[in-house]
Amino acid sequence: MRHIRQINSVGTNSYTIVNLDNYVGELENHPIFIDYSDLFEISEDELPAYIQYVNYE
Amino acid sequence: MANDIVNINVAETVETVAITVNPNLTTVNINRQVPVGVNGQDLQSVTDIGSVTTNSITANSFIKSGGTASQILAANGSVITAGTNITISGGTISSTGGGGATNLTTSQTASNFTINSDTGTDASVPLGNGTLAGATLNDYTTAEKTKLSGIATGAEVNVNADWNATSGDAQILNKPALEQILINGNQAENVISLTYSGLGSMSYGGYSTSYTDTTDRNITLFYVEGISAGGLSFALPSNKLDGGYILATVDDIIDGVPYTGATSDVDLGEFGIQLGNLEFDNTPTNIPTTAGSMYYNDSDGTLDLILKGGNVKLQIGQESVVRVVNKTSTNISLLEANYQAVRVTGAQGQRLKVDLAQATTDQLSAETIGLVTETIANNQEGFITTSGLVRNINTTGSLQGETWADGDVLYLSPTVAGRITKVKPIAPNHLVIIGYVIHAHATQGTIFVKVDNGYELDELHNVKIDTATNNEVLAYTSATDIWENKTPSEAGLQPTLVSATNIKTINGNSILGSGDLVISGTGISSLNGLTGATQTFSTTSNTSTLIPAWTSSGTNHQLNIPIAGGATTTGLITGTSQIISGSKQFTSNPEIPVPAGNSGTCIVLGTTGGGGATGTLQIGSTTLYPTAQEMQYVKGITSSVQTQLNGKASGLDVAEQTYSLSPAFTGTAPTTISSSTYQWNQLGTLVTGRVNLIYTTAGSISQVVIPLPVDMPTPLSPTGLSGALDILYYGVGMFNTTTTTVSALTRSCLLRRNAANTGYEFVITHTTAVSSRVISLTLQYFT
Repeated sequence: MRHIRQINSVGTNSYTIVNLDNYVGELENHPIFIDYSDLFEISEDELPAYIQYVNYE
Repeated sequence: MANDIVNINVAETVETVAITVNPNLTTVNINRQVPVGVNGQDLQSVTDIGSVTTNSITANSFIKSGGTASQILAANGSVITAGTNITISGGTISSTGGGGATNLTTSQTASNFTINSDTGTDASVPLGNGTLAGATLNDYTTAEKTKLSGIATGAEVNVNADWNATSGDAQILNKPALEQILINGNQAENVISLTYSGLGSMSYGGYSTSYTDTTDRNITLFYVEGISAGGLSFALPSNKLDGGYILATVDDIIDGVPYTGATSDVDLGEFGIQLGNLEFDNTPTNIPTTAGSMYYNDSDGTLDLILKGGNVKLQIGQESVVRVVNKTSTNISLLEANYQAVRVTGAQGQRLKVDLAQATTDQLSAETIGLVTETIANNQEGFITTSGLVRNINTTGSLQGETWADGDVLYLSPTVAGRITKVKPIAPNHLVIIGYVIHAHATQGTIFVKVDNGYELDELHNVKIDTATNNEVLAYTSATDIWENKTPSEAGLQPTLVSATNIKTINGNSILGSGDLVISGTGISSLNGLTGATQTFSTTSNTSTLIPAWTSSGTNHQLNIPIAGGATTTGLITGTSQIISGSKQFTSNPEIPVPAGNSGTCIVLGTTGGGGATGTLQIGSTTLYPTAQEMQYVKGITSSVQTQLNGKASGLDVAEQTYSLSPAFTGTAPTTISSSTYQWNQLGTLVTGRVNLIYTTAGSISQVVIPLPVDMPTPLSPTGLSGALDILYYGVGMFNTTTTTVSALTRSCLLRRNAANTGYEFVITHTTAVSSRVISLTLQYFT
């Protein structure tokens, strides 16, 4: 499942993805990339067993 | 003699007269045929003129002129005198006694000329060359005449010497010494000896013999004074009936075997020896080798008899052999050097047939009879030893790949046919003892053969096996006095137990039947390692109750087992006076079941009677809680207090756990969790919980949402707060950069219903994002 992940959480036991529950649109257009373009990226990797979320409103 | 008269008739026309003298002629007459005076002629006139007649002359008398009546004339008319040969071709000479009774005739054989007298003794003249012409009377040789002239005057025709004479002509000089002959202890006197030939028989007492040929035999008659002649008889041949003698013994003894000093073998031909005893030389030097010979074997202390073929010597009385036929199935020769074990397979030609024995099956071993003791070619006869010694063989065991020693027991081999071994065979092979090693030696070894084939179980006289099957046993039947194969049940070995359903198996085998299990004597001698030395066990059938129990007195321990038919399973703690004394240890998680519907006392603590109890219930090692008095206080509580206690008991003081749900951050999330825990407890309906999340890398956080752990009690939503994101309770919470930083910033911490209104979540929020990696909150709520 494509998702937006926090880059520095990759490979740790706290894999962090952006909560997209209330977001409608392309991932590339998600507003988090406006403020934190250097901290997040789009990924198509499989999600690990444990994940945590980032809410961006 | 006949009175024959030969007439010589002279005819007138006969000119010559011939006189023929026949042997039996006694009178010769020349008779005139023509009457005297006829024609003036007479016999005298005829003869006067010297005529010769061819006619026969017959006369009443014929006397030579000047001769006498006793003279005999030759054909030429001369008188036959001494020295004149008389030739008679055929016929006989006979003489009739003149005026007497004696008549003579002659006869001739090839060897004798005999003058026979019808009244006197015949005179026989031996013929020198077998012909009458050669006969010479009184024609003695010079040597004979010298011998006759040497005979003294008056010498007796027959010599009548006297054995006992000591002088004179009757004395016998140089007499041999006669051996004394005793018959029945009496001196025997030689009476007479004779020779007879022809068929016959003789007997004396228990001795008898018969003659089937006509060989001459010398017979001596003994006279024994003082013994009876009864039982003594002699059957003479028909041509000897005029003998008139009674036979006492045979003088063959004259040429008999001397008592000692024999210089050559005695050959009795086809005759046997009858004697009182027979003694063999104990140190013979002339050992025979031919079959049928016998001699003394000093090594074994018995007589050796050389058997047929000359290869086998039978030690009389010490061994037994049998002559058999080699009928091996593989058509091999049985070798003496291999001393193979053989078995009987039948009979052929009035001999036992044998083949190699082997201890693998009853068929190949049961008829084992002995060891080969001489080499026997296939289909040929030879001897085997069935008992006794087999000698001069290799008994070191090298032939069998073993090492044998004196005294080793030898068995029939189960691996090689005909072989013997010292390795004792075990079932299913058959144990057949062949014999024993007497002397272990490579070339002069000796084995004592004593075959013992053993028996199959069903071959014993008092055992009867009828189609045996697995797990059957051998049982005795007194009615028939035999042992028979029976199943354990048929043999009465089936245990008679209380119940075939309660006690099912022993060592995995089913136990059938019914009745009591009776252990007599001293009872169970050992149970679970406890032996009868200190323990005595007995069992009884508890016929009064369904309750099992142990009773003990001293070393006597008795187990009471409920009788069959008990309706329910019964434990060991029963009755109203069961006592558990001393320090007892139960297994983990002991359970004391309380039967449903039991209205009586189940567990009694302290002194019977309740209200005055002083005992305690011990939980753990030291805590005494609650006391009996306290238990009395709560006795009877069944409503809300009890419910609270139940709830308290199930939810109180939950220990710290790992928080594993997914929090959601606003801003950027801290990463790399180093610790995430939560803990909660409940007192009544008030729940107190805390959550601590510690990361290694800080994020920039303005808010964090932490889902309520699923094991925490469901919060009670106050009235009017049941919608999504409705805040139910407030607590305290913080997110910060370190675990030690004391922040002056204010955070808001709350418990609310989640956005989907399907659960609950903790929330900590701040007006601006701050760098944080440590999140903590504590919050209480009702449930």
